[in-house]
Order: sequence, then C-alpha cells, then structure tokens
Amino acid sequence: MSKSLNETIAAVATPLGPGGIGIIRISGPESRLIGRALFRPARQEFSDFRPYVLHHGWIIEDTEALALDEVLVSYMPGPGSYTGEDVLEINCHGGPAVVRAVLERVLAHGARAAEPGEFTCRAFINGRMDLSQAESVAELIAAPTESGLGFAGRKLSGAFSREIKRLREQLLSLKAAISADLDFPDEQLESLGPAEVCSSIREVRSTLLGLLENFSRYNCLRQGALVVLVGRVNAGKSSLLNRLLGRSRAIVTPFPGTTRDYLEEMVNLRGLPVRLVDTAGSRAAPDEVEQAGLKQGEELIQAADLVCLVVDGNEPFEQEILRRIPEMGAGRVLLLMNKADLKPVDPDVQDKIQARGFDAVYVSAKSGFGLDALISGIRKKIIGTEAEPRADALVPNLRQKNKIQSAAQLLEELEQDLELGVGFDALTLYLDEAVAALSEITGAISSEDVLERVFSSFCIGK
Amino acid sequence: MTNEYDLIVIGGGHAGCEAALASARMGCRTLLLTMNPDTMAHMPCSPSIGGIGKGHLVKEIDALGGEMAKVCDASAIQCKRLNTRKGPAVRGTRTQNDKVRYRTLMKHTLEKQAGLEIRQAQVQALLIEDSRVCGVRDESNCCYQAGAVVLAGGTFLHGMVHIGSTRIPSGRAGEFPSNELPEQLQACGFAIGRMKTGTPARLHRRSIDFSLFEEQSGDPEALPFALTSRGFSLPQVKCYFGRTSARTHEIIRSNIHFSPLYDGSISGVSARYCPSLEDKVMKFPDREFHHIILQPEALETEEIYASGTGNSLPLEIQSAMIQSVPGLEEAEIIRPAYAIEYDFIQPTQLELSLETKLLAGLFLAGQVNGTSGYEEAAAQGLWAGINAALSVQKRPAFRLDRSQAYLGVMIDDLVLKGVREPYRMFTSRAEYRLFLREDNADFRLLHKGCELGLQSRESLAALEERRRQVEEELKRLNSVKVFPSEAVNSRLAAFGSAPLQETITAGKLLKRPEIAYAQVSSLTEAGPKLSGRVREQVDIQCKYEGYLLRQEDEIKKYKELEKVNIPDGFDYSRISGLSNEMQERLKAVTPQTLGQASRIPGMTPAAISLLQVYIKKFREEKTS
Repeated sequence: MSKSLNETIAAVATPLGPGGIGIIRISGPESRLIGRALFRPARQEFSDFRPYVLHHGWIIEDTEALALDEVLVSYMPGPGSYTGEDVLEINCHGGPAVVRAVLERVLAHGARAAEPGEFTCRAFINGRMDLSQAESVAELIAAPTESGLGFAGRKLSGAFSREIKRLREQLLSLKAAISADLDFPDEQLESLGPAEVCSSIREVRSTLLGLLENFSRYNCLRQGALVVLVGRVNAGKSSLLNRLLGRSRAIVTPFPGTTRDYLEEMVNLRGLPVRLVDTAGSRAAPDEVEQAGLKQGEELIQAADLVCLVVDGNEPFEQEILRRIPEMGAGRVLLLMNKADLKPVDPDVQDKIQARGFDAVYVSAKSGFGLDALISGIRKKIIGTEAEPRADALVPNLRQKNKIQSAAQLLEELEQDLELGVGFDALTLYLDEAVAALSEITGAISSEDVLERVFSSFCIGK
Repeated sequence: MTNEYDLIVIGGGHAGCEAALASARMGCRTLLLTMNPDTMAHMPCSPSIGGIGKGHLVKEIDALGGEMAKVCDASAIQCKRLNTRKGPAVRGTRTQNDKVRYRTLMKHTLEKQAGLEIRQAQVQALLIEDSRVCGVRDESNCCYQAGAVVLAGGTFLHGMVHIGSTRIPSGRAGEFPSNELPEQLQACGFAIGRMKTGTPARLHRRSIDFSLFEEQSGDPEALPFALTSRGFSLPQVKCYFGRTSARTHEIIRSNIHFSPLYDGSISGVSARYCPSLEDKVMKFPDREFHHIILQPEALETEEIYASGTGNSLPLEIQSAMIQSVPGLEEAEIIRPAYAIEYDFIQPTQLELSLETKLLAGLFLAGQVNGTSGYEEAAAQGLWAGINAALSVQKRPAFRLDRSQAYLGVMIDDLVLKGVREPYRMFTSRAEYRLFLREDNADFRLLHKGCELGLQSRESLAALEERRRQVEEELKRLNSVKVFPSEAVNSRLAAFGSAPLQETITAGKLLKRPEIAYAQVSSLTEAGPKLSGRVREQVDIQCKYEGYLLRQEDEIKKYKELEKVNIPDGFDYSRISGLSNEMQERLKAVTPQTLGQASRIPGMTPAAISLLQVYIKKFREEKTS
C-alpha cells in the first residue's frame, strides 16, 4: 500500500444499512482535532476528549451550528489503539443518510476516505497485529455464515499464529542442533543422527499436513462450495433446487427442458454456504440456445466441488449413471434418485449402485421426502464428514495454505535426501526455506535466532 | 630520516601484519609500528589455526593474496580436515602450528617486503586535522605522517590481565598496555566498549601422564591451506584428549567466589562459544565432564597448551583444579591461565571499508573491532590494508558481499549489526554457505586479488585452466553413459550403492552421495588425467548442482534488496511508524541499501516496507 501514513483516514466501520448504530472510524494524527471541530458536547465542563471515555453530544454543521445527529464519541490515542495511531470513533444513531452526512463532514475537515483494508494495514505496519491476524480481520468481515465466523475469530485471537510459531520454533531448534553439530565438531555433543532429524521432521510435517487437511475440509465453510445439479431433462433438477432453497426460484413446469441456460442461488446448508447451480437438462437434438446452455453446464461441472446427478428413479437410468459417474469422477458425484416417493427403487438396483461405490440419496423433490438426507449427503461429500467441524480446528486461508503446503513439501524433500545420505550442509537449505515459509504466515523474521539457540542449549567452547 | 609514509599500521599482530603486507604490495610506502618486534605475529592463545568457518577465512585470505595461509602451512605440525562426512560446505581445515616458527616466518616475510618498514614504537596519539587522521605520534614525541592509518591494537587498548584478585595492566601477560590511544579515541567521540577473553594454562610436558589421554594424529591426506604450498615439511605431532573429573567441578564450585568473573570485578563481555572452565561448570551443571585437549606449543619447547583449562582463578586454585584432571595429577604449570579485559570500538561506527565514520583516514582491524581469533583478525587486516591503500591511491573501495565470501559476511555483520560478544566466524552465519566453501575460495576470489595486484597473473592463468578442466569434465560426464550390466551392478554393490535399472549418464551416477568421482571413473572409459583439486570440484559441483541452483535463487532475491539505494540525506525521523529506538539505530548505522537496513537488528518486514514507501516518497519530492 503506497498511501501515505501521515494522512488521517476515515470510513464507516459498520455495514451501511437501515437502523441500528453506524460507526465512523477516524485514524491518524489529525483525528482528535477533526473530532473537536465537529463535536458539540452535552456536558458543559467538557474541555477535550479523554482517552477511552464515551462522550455524549452532537455532530454539528460548521456554520449554522445545526445538529446533524446525536452521537457518542470515543477517543483512543496511539499506540494503544486498533491501528496503533490516534483513533476517534463516532457512534451515530441515524440511518444511512445521516451516517453518510457525518462522514462527509469528517472528510470536509481534512480526513481522507480510507481504502478497503487500510485500517488493518496500518494496524499491521504499526505492529498492532501480525500478518495472519490482519488477514483474519478481512476474513471476519467477509465470512458468510456462523461456522466460518468461528474459524476467523479463533485466528484473530492468535491460536493459529501460536501453532505456526510453535512449528517454526521446532524447526529452528532442529536447525540449532544441526548447526551446533556442524560448527563445533570438537565438542562431541550428543551426536545428531539422521534418524533423530528424520523423526522431528516427520512430527512437524504431520502437523502441517493436518492443517492442510483442515483447509480442504473447512475452506468450503468459509468460501462456499460450488454444487452443480445435472441430469436428463425433466429429471426434477429445478424442483430439487427449489426444495433446497425453500422457495420457488426456478420456473417449474411439467414440460421437459424448461430450464434452458442455468440458474444460480446461494443456499445455507446447515452452516455450509453453497452456490447451487441448476443446469439445463440434457436431451437429444437440442436447439442453439440450449447448446450454449449445455456448454456452460460442462464448464460448471469441471469447476464444481460437487456434482449432483439427478435421475428419475422411475425411468431406466442404469446406462446413464454407468456412463456419466465415472466420467465425472465418482468421488465428486452424488447420485440423487428423485421421485422416490412414487415407487421405491428396486432393491437390486440399490445393491448395484452400492457395489460400484456410488454415493446415492433417495429423495422426492415434490413431497420433500429425503431432504434431510440430501443436505447431509451434500455436506458429507464436500466436508468429508457429516460431523460438525471441531470448534477448535485451526484452518488456514488460501495464502496460508500455500505457505504451509510449500513448507510440508520442503520437509518431505528433506526427508528423502536425508535417506539418500546427502550432507547436513545442504539439508539446512530446506530447513531455512521451510522456516521462511512459516515466518511469512505470521510475518515474523529472525536473524541471529539460530546462534542464540545454539549458545543457550549447548555447552560450546574449548 | 624522513617520517612521511603513504600508510601507517599500528600493531604487529595478525591483523597488522596482513594490513602492512597488502598495503606495501599494492605500492604504498608503509610503516608498521609495534611495541615489540619479537612478538609480531604472535599466537598468544591456542597453537592452532583454522577450523570450521575460520579455515574458510584462511583460504579466502590466500585466494586474495594474503600471507596467513602460507606461513601457516610452513609452520604446521599437524593438519586435520574436520567434518569430512557432513558435506563439502562445512569441511574445515585446521592445523596445529609451531607458534615460534609462525611468528618468525611471518616477521621475516614482512622484513623482506619491499616498501615496508618496521619500527619499534609505542603510539601515543593520532595526528588529526579537520576530522582526518594524517599520522601518529609515539612515546618519544616522534611524529610520523601518512595518508591513512590502520589501527590494529588487539587486546592492548586499556588491557587488564586478571588472575584471581590480581590485576595487572597489560596488553597481554607480560606486555605493556596502550592507555593513551583509547582515551584519545573516546575524546574524539567514539563509543568504546569492554570485552573479556582468556587463555588456558601451559604445562610442562614431563609432568603429564599421557597414558591417561587419547591420542589424536592429523589426517595424512589433509591438504595445506595455500594454493602454492606443496605439503607440510615439519615433523608432525599428536594432540591428546582428556576429561575433567567430578573433583575438578567440585573445586571450581567451592572456589567460585575467588573468580573475578563471579565477584563482579570483570565487566567485559566474554564469548559464549569460548567460555572459561568456571563458566562451563557453573552454567551447565548437568555435564559430568568437560574436554581437555593437550596441544604442543612448538617443536622446540616443552610447553603444552592445555585447552579447556581457561579460567581466571588464583594460581593455587588453578593448580589444584588442573591436578584434579586424570593424567595431570603432577602437572607443573609454566604459565597460569588468565583472563584479559580490553577496550573495543563498536564496529557500527565503521564504513564497510573499515574506515571510521568519525575520522577519515583511520581504519580499524582485528580485536579492536570486537572480534576474536587470529583468522578473523588477519582477514580484517587484509581488508583494512587493501581499503586504506585504495583510499590513499584515490581508488574506489574494495567490497565483497555476503554471497561472495565469509569475509563479506563478517564485515557486513560487524558494521550493520555490531557486536555484543567477541565475534567469531561460524558457517551458520553465512546464508549462502553452499557457495562459500573452502574448496572454491580460489574460484571465488583469486581474480579479485589479481585486480588488486596481490595475486600474480600466473596464478590467475592456472586458475582459469582449472576452471576450464572442471567445466569440460562435467560436460564429458554428462554425455558418457553407464549401462546396467551385471559387471557394473556388481561393482556398484561393492561400493555400497544400489544397482542400475536403466542406462544413465556418469554425471547422474556421480550425484549419488555414496559414490565418489574415482568410482565413477572406474566404471567408464578413461577420462583426462586431472589434479586432485579439479577432481574435487567436479565431484562437488555435480553432486550439489540442484542445491546450488536453489541457493542461487536466494542470492538473486538478496541482491534485489541490495540494489535499492537509500538516498544520501534520507531523514529517518520522518517515518512516523518507526520507533524512536529504531530511528536512532538507523541513523547511527546509516545503511546504504535497503538490504543493509533489513539486516540491522530489530528491523521487521513491516518496517522494511515502510522504509521502502518513504524512500520512494523522498525521491519523488526531490525530483518534483
């Protein structure tokens, strides 16, 4: 961010919407003076804002001294504030129009409108939070459902940072032990064999792999998963979409081929945010519009986290599923046997499906039969388990995941080279890079760390 | 008698000798002033040179055209190669030296050097004009003029020897200290700190029961330090390993209050990697024993250096302590162990050339900069001598960065980070140590020595020939095929290596850690006849190719930050996000690049990005 840090910035800190309280946050060297210029105190004896105290009063227009809104103002001087700078917050009562008007007054007095994330960026630059905390603030604001909020909240409190720091420490201690061994060969320290190095590397690596697993399991809880409904025309895809949404979104008719391009809706499946897409049904001899729709459908299938293949349980479908499921990859396909209320599916067929390892759910879009099983089925396919995510699970975001992945990869290479008998001098390269990858997650660096460790842990010297 | 020189070196230790030789060889009329020519190039502590990291420095000194390696080889009475099984980057050569021969040979080399004069004098003051040093004055008020002065005063500045409660002002035991110079430096505004080091006892050979020690000989295949050396000519000797006893620790614990280290009378900071025996016993109480290594001081003396017995206890306690070591029950102490405290100048007050920021024309080298070790001192002496000569000749300063040499790592560390304890070289300090090996010091640095006029054209031509041979042999190995025949696989099994499944190149086979160059050659048609040096290069470069490429990427990143210059006159106090302490540190160190700034202790990535923003802003304001 190349914006100057000497400028005072301001923004509405709460979502713009009707009702409730709107907070305007001002941060920077001028924030207190701007507040003084706008604020008319309710108490006579007010002389200046006192830190961490709520001041009752009004925001006034400059010239006419007309009150814009009744407000509570708090002042937090740096470096003890959220951004580490002087921060002033104005709690307005009014709706969006009033909040906007107050912000405009603040800007007119010399503050600059803050860029997205600029408060957090300043907090990071001023050392008020580490990089992983700064990122989770952005996630907290963007997290779409309650489960997602839980993970973000935990990272903000530093549990994730602590875990990464702990792993980093472990690698640094190992590096210190290797360094002591390399730099002080005469000391006859308890000699560090490849087996010891290998076992500590494995331990760190398995924890990293656990975090990666958490990522793939829970990332969809934060980001939302793409679920695509496919199947023949009139299999009941749109009716199922409507069922899941709990309202009529798709136009449903008994005539095959009513959905000609595709429909997309966000739906919350017990805390799992899902982008649910209904595609045009497939049939022979489609017209041009339908062809375009089908092509789009193919692309969606490629991108989907989960494909729901909807079949009419009363029609012959064996050939279709035998062809399509392996084509799309059985792991990411859930077979929906619709219209299961009309006639129970032949147990023989059920056995066959099971024997091939296809996951299937028997539902009725029309009656709502099997809807719970459907939601559980979708969640299980995406999250990997039906169980609720553990409340204390540590889940990296995409950037953190990539760093963790490269650290885990480096440790794996280290292990392999260790087995080949490569010298310790080269192996520390992997350790350095793995430590650097983990350091980038929390934004911490170290230079003398390793020697400090050597001297505090080993008796060195002639 | 004229008293005008191009360059004056104060001090005849390892730093002073290299500085004076480099300066004279670069064409400067040079004067070396020493309090006592008999102790020039003296090894006041261990009779050994090199080791891990230190050996790297000696090799680098040699590649640049310094003297230490040559004298070291000529006085070596044992040579070992350490860490042979831990990878080429951390292999280190170490010699035991006849310290009498070492100093005699070095002194003689200086005496024979054209353009170099040696004189016995005790320098009392620097001559200063307009913040520029232009000469020195000695104790008899004799003045010497010069364009630059290298101060290599070792432990002599306000040196104070401690043995128990006895305190003797000395530069080393039995030698005068220098008390006037540090006072003048302080008056000039230099921040001066205090450090402590020490040396163990010397015992009489006949009083030692060597049967209770484990013998250790040198490695017959170990190579000498210097490129020009043809092996070792002196008789080779043994060292002896032993251990302290529980009784030793008991004596120390019950007498610890007699140690000036523990009664508060020593304030100087000592090195954690070289603790005295009382420190080791007190700080690591769980250790059942500590090592004692007996090393001969020279061929024509009965004195034995008792490594591991360093302490500052009163003589009678030292004596009891040493005699509690199995095999030393009858030990006769010739010289007691002692601790010494001395002044050092915090090296953040220096430019990367080792010229002081406060006084132009004054260069500092060696222990006065807060380092420890003969090799560290010699390397700085060479660096300061070269740069002082270049400054007199109005030529640009000589630099090596962290990716080029241990020397570059050391100078960068000293000047940007400063020191909190005597600085010693370790391979862990070098981020790019896979490149900075002992075996390739000549490949890295010899051409630089040649440019400076310290290396001959012939050595450069010989090096280029070696480089060509290495490249050709690598190319050849990568084209020669090895087939998975029964004969080949049974040979591989004999080498302890897995059989081949398919045809591979000889180069690929050589990448296997357990396979040596000679073994690969035995499986292929005969290649060219190559020297040991060339064969070693081929082996290492082939095996480490992947790692070296990896490290090269890191070096590129490092150089990116080095390219961002911090403009002259840049005002750190304008950066509101930086703490006052950090602003002060940056102002004091005045880094020239963003990369240098990033290595100053306390700098965080956030602070670096902040600095980057402000540098950009500063430039924009200047241009607008």
